[in-house]
Amino acid sequence: MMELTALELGEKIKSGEIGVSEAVQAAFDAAESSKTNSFITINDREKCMAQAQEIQEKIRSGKLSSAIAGVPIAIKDNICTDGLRTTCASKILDNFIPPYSATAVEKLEQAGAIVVGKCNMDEFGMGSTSETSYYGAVKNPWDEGRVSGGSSGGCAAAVAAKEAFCALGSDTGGSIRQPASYCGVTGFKPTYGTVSRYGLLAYASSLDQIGPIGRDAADCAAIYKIIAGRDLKDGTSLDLPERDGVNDIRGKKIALPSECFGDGVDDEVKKHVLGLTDVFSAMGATVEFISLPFNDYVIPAYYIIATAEASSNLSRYDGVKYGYRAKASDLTEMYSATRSEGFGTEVIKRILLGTFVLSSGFYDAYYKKALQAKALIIKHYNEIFCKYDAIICPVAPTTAPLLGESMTDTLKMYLSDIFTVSINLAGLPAISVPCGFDSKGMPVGAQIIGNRMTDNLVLDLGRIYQERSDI
Amino acid sequence: MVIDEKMVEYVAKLSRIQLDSEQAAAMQSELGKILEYMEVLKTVDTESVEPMAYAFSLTNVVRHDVVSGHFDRDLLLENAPERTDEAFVVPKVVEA
Repeated sequence: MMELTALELGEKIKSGEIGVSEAVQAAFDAAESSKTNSFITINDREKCMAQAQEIQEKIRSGKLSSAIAGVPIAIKDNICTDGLRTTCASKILDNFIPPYSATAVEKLEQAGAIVVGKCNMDEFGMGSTSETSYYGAVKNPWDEGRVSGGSSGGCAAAVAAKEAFCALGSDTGGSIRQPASYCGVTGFKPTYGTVSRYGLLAYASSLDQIGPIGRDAADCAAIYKIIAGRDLKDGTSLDLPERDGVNDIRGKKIALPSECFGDGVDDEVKKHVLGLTDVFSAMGATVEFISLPFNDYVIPAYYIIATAEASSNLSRYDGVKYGYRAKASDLTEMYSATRSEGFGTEVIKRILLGTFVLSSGFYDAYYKKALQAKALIIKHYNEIFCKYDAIICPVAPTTAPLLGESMTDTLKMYLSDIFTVSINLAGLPAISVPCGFDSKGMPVGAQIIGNRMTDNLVLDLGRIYQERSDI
Repeated sequence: MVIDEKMVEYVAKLSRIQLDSEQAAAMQSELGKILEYMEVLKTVDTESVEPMAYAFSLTNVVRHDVVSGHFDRDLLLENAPERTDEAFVVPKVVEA
């Protein structure tokens, strides 16, 4: 049963071929026997079985008809779930039990989805390999010696390893798309603001976005449709009208940034991503190479902005209201001992960096400069989208690296995000779809990027490709 | 080099993070490497470019000044490392 996509399972539940309880049992069995270390916490099975019965009854009586009614789902552990431990993969939140659920989780539960467990990740989303977790690294299901990608590594690995049907992740600089690419599944980062961030533990608020990870683009679209929409609890959430998607891509104009197919990008990655664009040209789309003039400075701009926001957001972890508290005799010492013992090395590094770029004397040279660079990046994207409908490039320059490799070279790890971070800076929607395997047998992912609010177009391009390819 | 020993000590203090000498040295070297790489940003011409905090222009969101849902105090205090019936407890700040 775990082979099914979320939509296939939803169909079979509606037709009565599979019972909701049966699906929940299968999902719990799979999550509990995870070989990828994808889960930090597994929900209470008995409670979920009771929930399954209620949902089954609502489906029978016609009160519940969503595409994923009765479908079990896994949630990244930085998204709050009422009464279910939410750790952000950090020691500092090891015992945190949220008194409320994120809006996205609430919407999924109202649609009849059942939360099976909370997925492993990089601590506070800070990492590109899911190795900075307090609960140990996530393993790639295609090769246990390799990383799953990050930071939503547990979500991607669980979906790839058939330990979950689908999952909800979050993406600040590539954290949905890159692990989806490394694990050979589909991940979608929506337009900034289309999905409420209420209940998402903040890393960099101007960049963070919740989105789905699934077996295919159709599953991602179904989940996105449920979680999207204006939420008064998130002041940055949008209710602009959604443009329609597409079924016919004849005449669509696709841009390929030559910088993403140049030196430093693995030849096999290039080959498979170009293979995906060949499918679109064969269907009547125009494909042209363009230039992304900002490629050299996206990483500095991103890491300055992200760490600046993180240094502010993470100041709330002080040992007073929730989470870990170190023993100390005075208040200031209690704050610093708690934070030093509670945060891991990568998180401390980013807090220090963020504090530095915001400190007086350096603010203009770093933080303000990065915000100006961000304005330029947005301007360049606006110009590209005046002429093109979508941009296609690799998700990452290489396939999944070996475990441990990225932990010794921070800069190398930061640079692996080079093709994903600018999308967050510009707030654009982008999907990561598997498009082949390299000679080591590791999946390659292509990224399809659209203009803001063209989420449906991006999801449709992913679906259209997947309907015509057997990858 | 912008990041010397004193600077690491300074930002650690601002961040309320304690580092032993070994950690401080490691952070100094790591942050130094990262900031060196970030020098490339200085070559970007941003003359007359307005800094942008959000990707879209946002308008201020206001709501009516009425209570709209609140949490149970006991429920919120359940996560506190130390508490009384109605408050968080912290080490003594003011001497009697």
